[in-house]
Amino acid sequence: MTDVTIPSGLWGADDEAAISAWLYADGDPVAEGAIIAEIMVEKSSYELIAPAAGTLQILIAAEVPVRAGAVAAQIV
Amino acid sequence: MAIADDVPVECGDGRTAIDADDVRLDALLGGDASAGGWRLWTNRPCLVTTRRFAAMPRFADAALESACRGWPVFVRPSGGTTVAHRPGTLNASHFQSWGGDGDDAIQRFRIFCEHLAASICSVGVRACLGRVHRSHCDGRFNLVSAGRKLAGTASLVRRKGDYVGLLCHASIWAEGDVAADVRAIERFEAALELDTSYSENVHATLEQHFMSAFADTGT
Repeated sequence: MTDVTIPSGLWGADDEAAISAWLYADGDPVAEGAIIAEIMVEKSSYELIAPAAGTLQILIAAEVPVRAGAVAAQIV
Repeated sequence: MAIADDVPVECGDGRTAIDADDVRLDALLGGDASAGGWRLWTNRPCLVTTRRFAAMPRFADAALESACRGWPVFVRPSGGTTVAHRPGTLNASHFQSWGGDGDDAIQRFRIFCEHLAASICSVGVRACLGRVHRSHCDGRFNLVSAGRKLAGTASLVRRKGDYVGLLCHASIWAEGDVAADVRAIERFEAALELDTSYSENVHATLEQHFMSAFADTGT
């Protein structure tokens, strides 16, 4: 099982971030390196990459605020 | 001050023109330094929306209905909401990459927007950055003149290995029927069952701002 972690160092600590969309559904197979979600900070989009291949299990729903380091999903 | 010296304006053709930004950012992150810098382009009439909206249950039907009205819908990877492209809309894209953290990406995005505002000011239209209530695709880095939105802006941050790539983009209304653009966006987003209500009167083209500026000077 591999954690999908919200990356750090991509926006400022005071900026509010949220997953704007999951590009795969919960339970979908994903390939390593696939863009699986986008994170929106103001009108800047950041891509969340699958760190491994497997089945996506979403832990943080879209539109929910996120912090760097949070585990947004797992790939099993 | 020009937006970008010696950069020709490309006349794009729908999806290909939109995808070209994505391809160029990938090329830059792949080590092609010539992919950095500016791209200026127009497009044929279409709506360009986000991956967030494309993931909505009603997207396929809403896009089909919009296409039947003459506004095919394409999806872009940068932030914001839906915008309209057409020949009277000038798109300005800028590509850069650097090693290490990307926590100053938003600051770099703001600098891009300030450069555009300064370029517009240099030709006689006072422009600044800010939100415009009831404008479409609103954000704090809109280009604004006399309280009316002149351009929407958005960015995309992509990491590859130890490098961060940044695409900054603006759609500047140069001329044409901005009210028709806003109506097309509003109808598409209504079909997605989004609760949006835009005011046509808070948007304006560069041409309209020029006319106002000349009228103010009495020339």
